[in-house]
Amino acid sequence: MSDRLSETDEIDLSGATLVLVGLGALAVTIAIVFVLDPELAPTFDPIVVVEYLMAILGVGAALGLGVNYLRGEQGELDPPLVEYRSTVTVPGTSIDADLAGTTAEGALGRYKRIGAVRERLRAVLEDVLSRTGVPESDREEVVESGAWTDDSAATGFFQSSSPFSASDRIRMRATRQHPLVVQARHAIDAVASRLGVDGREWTDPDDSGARSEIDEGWVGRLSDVQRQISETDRLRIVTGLTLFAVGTGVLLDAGLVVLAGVVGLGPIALRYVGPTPAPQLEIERELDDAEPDPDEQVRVTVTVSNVGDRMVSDLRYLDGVPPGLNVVDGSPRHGMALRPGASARFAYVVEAERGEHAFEEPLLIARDVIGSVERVERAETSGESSIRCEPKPTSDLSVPVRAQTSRDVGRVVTDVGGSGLEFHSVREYRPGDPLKRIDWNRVARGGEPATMQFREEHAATVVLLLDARGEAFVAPERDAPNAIERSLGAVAEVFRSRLDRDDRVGLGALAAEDCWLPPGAGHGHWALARRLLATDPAFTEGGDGNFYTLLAMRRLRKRLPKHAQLVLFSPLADDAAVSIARRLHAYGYPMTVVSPDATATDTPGRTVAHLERRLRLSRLRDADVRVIDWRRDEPLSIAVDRAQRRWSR
Amino acid sequence: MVAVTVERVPSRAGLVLTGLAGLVAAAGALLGGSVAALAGVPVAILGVYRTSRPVLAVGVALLFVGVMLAGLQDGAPVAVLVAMVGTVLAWDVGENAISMAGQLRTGASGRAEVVHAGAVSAVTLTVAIAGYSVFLLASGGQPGIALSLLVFGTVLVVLSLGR
Repeated sequence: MSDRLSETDEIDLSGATLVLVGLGALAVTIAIVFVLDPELAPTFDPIVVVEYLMAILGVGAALGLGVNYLRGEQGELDPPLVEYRSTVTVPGTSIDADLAGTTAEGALGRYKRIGAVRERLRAVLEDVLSRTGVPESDREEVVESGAWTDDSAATGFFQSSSPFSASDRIRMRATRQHPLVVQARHAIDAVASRLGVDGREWTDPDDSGARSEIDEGWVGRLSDVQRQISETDRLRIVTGLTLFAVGTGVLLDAGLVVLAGVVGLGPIALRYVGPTPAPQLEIERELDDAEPDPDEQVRVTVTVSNVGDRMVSDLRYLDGVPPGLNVVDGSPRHGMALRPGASARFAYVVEAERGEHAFEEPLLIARDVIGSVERVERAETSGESSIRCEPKPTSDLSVPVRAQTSRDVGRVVTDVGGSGLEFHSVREYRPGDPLKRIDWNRVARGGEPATMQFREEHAATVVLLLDARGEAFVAPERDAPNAIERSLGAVAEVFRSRLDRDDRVGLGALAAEDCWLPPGAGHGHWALARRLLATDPAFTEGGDGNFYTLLAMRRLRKRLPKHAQLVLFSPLADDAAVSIARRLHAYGYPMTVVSPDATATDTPGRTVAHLERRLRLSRLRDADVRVIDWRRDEPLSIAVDRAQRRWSR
Repeated sequence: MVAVTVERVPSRAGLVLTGLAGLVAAAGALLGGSVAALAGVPVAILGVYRTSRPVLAVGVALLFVGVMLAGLQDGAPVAVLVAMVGTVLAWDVGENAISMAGQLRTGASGRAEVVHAGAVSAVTLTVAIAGYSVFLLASGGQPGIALSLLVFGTVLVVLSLGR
């Protein structure tokens, strides 16, 4: 990084620059000769030609500079939108970007992207067809022939010929629509209708849906921004005006216009007189509550003081809002001009979310007085540097567990006959059976003595698994709570309520970082779990490490006790989650999947992600895994209730 | 609760300063005998309001056309210089407001813009006065081409160093 700084600190003189400087010096020398001896001037023809040439060059350069600048060659930094949480993605956004063509380079790149969307959609379509009664042998043919829907634009997406007439295509070209993209939207709409997804927000295939990215900038972290010193080129227009005025003035021999051109030299020259900005600052951050409850608003006050002995003429400050938090009031950015010893103070409000959220180093964009050099730096801060927020479970919520239990006494009613409350069966008397369980009525009628059995009540061993891989950090909207957040809240409540029912409960994460709490019981156990849930790094932010499915599964199987049953909390944002759940279920650990829905249907791409998730749920149900589809904005208890109705015992 | 909006909103100071600079330019051009510059003022303000550099550039170009016309009609030298100072300032202040709105969004601060405008006006005025002094000295009988070459050479040196 420091190499870069020293490199950009120097002004390098290229060959072209030297030529220009030489020409300029020559012109000045000739001018001085003319001033000293006016007789020389009018008769010296070649010089006049050179002069006109230079004037034309000047006008040309002026126009070139202006046009290039306005076509987007601005050198200023476009900082990320720190106001928004950067740890969450919305499923299907990449498809929307592919369709909109924002990610592709060139026409060929765009075709490839649309091709990738087609592959993905085709997989969905084939799955949908197999679930809507098309036998596997016919599937290929149905897709090729287009018999699966009435919409010809939709079927054409998977066929080689284009369904549009020549006039249609001309109309699309005029409205700058890509025919393949129109087809893709129709296809997505038709597939969704075929699967019977109703209540969609996006329903008109000719409409491209709501904008899926924030169009005001890019969301990212301050640590993604490079430190650098760069020219902003903002005076190029002034340079252009100057060259143009002087050039035209010389051409038309208008002294006043030339004089006017000189004015622009002031700001341009200042860039060489003024030093590169190097602000010396002291930054302090204060929080009104460093340990808030979830959803509480925290006021962050920042004080920036100039401790150097130079004026800081133009400082643009972006505070390092923790990547996992949203700013809900005020602005974490502030522009200031500080005399030596002066300080500026401003405040903004963030909304707390579970976890430990560290502030990033703030970003400083310092400009010199004329604004032509921009130094991008990050700075150290003093004062509070993180917000810690622990969930407080309130309601008594539980996920029903299955009748696979340990030998310990508990409250799960099993299918094993013995002592208990609920009647189970009657069997012949065996010596040693307790007297009170002998069916005396039967003995009185003169029959053989028989023993009544009741369903035994045992404790279950439940391990709650939380899918916290990078793929699981998804939310139906940028502002909405993400799937992990919702899952963690539910995990905390389920954990405690199962403990209260005398079950042994454990906790594990499917994440790049290892997190495991072996099954246990008692109040101390709850305290341990609570601390893990609140602060374990596995659950906060999108981890940078990789998640290796095979390794994680091996580790998990070593740890899981024999009779354990599993509850997996996962948004099912990719197929890996499904295969993990199915495999664990097949290993003999009965699996229940609680899946917070993090998909939306307001754009074509998001609709595809929504369809994919639905199909994943179906695939889990096919494997006899219990599934609780936890919709957006509904309490888990309602989702559990709805799911339970379709379970067999 | 939904996160705050992050629209590019120019500060009021930026709009006012651009308007003032534009008015100075238009007034100078008017005194120099050109009306065209008046059209540039609202366009420049609109450019800042919509944080669009091209629109601002169109506004500044209109102001500049006023300067050129005034200069070619041999208006009063002071008027032409004032008009040019206003034109340069209109771009500088306006662009600064747009850049602030882009990097700071709603956190854009008027104070920093006023400081910037003050510094730039001081420098521009100084150079204008210096240029005018040279102009007065030089118009004492030297060939016009000598003056033009002098200025042009200087401009070329400064610019080629300054890109």
